[in-house]
Amino acid sequence: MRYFIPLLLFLGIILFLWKGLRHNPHELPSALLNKPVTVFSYPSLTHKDQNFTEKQFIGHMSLLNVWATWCATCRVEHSVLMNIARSGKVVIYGLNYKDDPKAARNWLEEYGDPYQDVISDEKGKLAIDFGVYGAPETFLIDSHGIIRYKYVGAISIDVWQNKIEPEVRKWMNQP
Amino acid sequence: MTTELLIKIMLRLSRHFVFTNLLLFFAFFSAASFANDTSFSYQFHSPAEQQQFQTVTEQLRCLVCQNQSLWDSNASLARDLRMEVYTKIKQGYTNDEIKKYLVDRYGQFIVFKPAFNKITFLLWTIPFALLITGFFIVVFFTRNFRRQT
Repeated sequence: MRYFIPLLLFLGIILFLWKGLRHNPHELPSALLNKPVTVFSYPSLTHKDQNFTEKQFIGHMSLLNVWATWCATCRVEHSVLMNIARSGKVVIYGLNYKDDPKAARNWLEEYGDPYQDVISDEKGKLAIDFGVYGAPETFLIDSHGIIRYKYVGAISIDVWQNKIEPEVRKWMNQP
Repeated sequence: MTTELLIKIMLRLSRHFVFTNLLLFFAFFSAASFANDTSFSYQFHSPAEQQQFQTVTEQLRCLVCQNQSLWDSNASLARDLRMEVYTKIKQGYTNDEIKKYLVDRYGQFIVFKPAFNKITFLLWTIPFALLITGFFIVVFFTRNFRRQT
């Protein structure tokens, strides 16, 4: 009996340490979950002379994808975004983060544009209001303009089907 | 003439492993200290403001290079957030207000010392609780052992 308790404690500690090792410290939970999107007005990257405001998120489920031409992983997730956009399950908007607008437009022309519209955030100031700390990051925003989910990292088909799409379905049916 | 001599000496010395290592070591660290915000110089109204800037940024974590503070880090995000802190200081925000502004957007993780509240209560108290429990467990077991001898 006297050996059993320390063994139990040891196993308990091992369990916590193991769980800790599994955590990726760069995948931080968003502090903005269930909060409304910040009020903003920024130039559109792809729609000439138009401004992109938070009102554009109202009325439908949206994904806001933070990307840049200098972000190699964004290139990797791009084809998945094209597929999601084509499926029509959710509207995808882009936030072009700390990028050169001309290079960004060329990039979209060359690889394809999955975005209904793209915010041009050259200095990364708007990104701070979204709690962005790198690219790619993707936010799920519901039809009331409330942030419901955030995914850090490139979206793979697996991530879309098992993590994001369920969230889309979940919040789509909320009043 | 002396530069030729210096170059000769350095070439001779560079054959030694220790010398090359020390050279690289210093080169690395001096490069790091020069890279800090060279493209923008912060203008403060007073030394107090400047001190406030350093104090606040030292208390905030760089989310990219996570063991560095916003004061130390050269990451792009750190530079952006330093600019935010600078702007807020000029607008007259207090240290707590600036920290709240960033915590609202990035969560408690951005502050090195998490606030003590209902949510972080366990985070603060569990280590001490475990330490005290462990102490009593050790005492309990050694007591039994002593009784047997």
